[in-house]
Amino acid sequence: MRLLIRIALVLICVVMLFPFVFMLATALKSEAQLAQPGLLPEGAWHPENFGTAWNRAPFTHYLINSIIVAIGAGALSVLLGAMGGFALSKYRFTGRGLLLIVVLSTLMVPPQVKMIPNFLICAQIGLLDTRLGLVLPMLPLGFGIFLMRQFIRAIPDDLLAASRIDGAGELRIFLRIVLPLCGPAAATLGIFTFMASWNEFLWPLIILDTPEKYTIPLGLMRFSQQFSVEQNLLMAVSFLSMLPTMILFLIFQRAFVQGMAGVSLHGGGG
Amino acid sequence: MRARTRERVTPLLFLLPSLVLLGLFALWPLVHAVVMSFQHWRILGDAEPAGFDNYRTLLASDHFWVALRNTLVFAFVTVPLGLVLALGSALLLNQPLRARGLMRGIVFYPVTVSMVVIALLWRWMFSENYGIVNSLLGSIGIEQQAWLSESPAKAFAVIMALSVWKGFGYGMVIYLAGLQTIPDAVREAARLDGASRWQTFRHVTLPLLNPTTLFVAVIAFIGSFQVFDQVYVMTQGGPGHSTSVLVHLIYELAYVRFQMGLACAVACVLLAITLILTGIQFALIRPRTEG
Repeated sequence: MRLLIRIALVLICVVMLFPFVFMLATALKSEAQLAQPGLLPEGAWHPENFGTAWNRAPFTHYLINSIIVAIGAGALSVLLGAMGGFALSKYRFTGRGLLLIVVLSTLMVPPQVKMIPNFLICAQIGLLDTRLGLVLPMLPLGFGIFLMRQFIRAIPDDLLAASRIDGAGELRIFLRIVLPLCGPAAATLGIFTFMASWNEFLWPLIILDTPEKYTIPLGLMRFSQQFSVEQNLLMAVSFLSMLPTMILFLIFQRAFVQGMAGVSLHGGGG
Repeated sequence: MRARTRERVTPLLFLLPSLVLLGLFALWPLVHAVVMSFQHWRILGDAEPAGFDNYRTLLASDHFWVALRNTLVFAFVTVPLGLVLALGSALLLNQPLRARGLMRGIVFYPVTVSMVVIALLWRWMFSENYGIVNSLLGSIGIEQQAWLSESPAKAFAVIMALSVWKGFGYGMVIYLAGLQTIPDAVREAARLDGASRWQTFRHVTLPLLNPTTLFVAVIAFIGSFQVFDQVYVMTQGGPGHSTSVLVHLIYELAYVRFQMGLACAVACVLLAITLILTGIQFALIRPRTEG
């Protein structure tokens, strides 16, 4: 039984890893070596493909765009989520229940349904082909506010009341007491938003025109259309494009898993 | 008096940016999508009332039915398959084993990678001439096939296989969390009562995991109706539009043919399917929490 489990697990790992091995092996072949049926290149290996591929298209631009957009989206979603979650958990006011329902109901609408009207709005307010237009319509506000509300609810009211007696204003209470206590939930929400934004394809495909503003997924797609024969270069640059999030994943695996599966581990499932 | 203002105004100020954004990019677009589905938008910025014309056009269009059928096939194949693999790997990786964390990481890793990268990689693996799949099959005497360009069924099967492979680690993680909530004592008690390993799984573990299964299934179903990236990268919906799906149809109508109204009608079909699924989810969860 134990042996069977071992074999099954090794098999699963091989199936999961093999495509990435094939990717790397292809990246090391020259264009002529692509015709070789073997996995590894016969003859010389070509690590210079990585540099060639990266410089063939403006990948440094794509990388910078992806970083700015994903970090911006992550930070904004944590800030707005915490503000909204704080308001909906630590204050009593008329309409609170209704507002919460409105916020939650936006979770049920697939983004592709709102895509065309959002495109028209972005066209009207000048957000087409901008980074801001990439970020604002896609922020997971419903999820973020709900997640942060669940977390902030657990902060004792007495803590806030004590600061009020000490004369702290509401903004100060939020910034100095609530926000620093939000660590774990903020990490979950931040990583969730960062990754969603880093990997998003359809929305950037629609609203971006200028190649210099492309994010990595769009840049890769464009590269694959321009240089369709040179699969070795495409695989080399695909591998490079995976590195930033791969490194983050290796360092913060636990937080990552929570962040990407966070919808269930924190919210709906529990 | 001051406290009252604080209770009323402060929370609204904190909520203001989110409410503005939600109104602008979530609520209004939802209404507008429905309105637009009853309008003709041949060229950007040019709307005329259309009644049910768009829906009539859709029902008469071959592309719509192909896309709807493909999306349904995609959902009803990839979701159950993904569930079985997720549960299976979670059970295996819930055992006390060496390198367990590493193996969990390996299974989950593709979830974190961009679908574009994965689809480009799989497109190359399944390419006709130099793809590794054909050369592996060739070594056992099976002839080369044009996986992605010849037969729609083969191309769509590859797209579905890729989607299951990339996504089931997500379900595994949630199943692992679900398994933590089942005390060992429960399973031990069943074993002591003489239940076999299989019986313990079938009659103790699996029923206790029902809420997890329901949750993973609903998330996966809703997600699978939004499939787009892998289709766009691997086949562009082709050959013809034989591997098109609903979101691909929306994209093509709106941004290739500039028929925004018609595209919104497809979007409304997608919305209706999603709301029905969400409704089923609520209906299934409610009796459990009340009872």
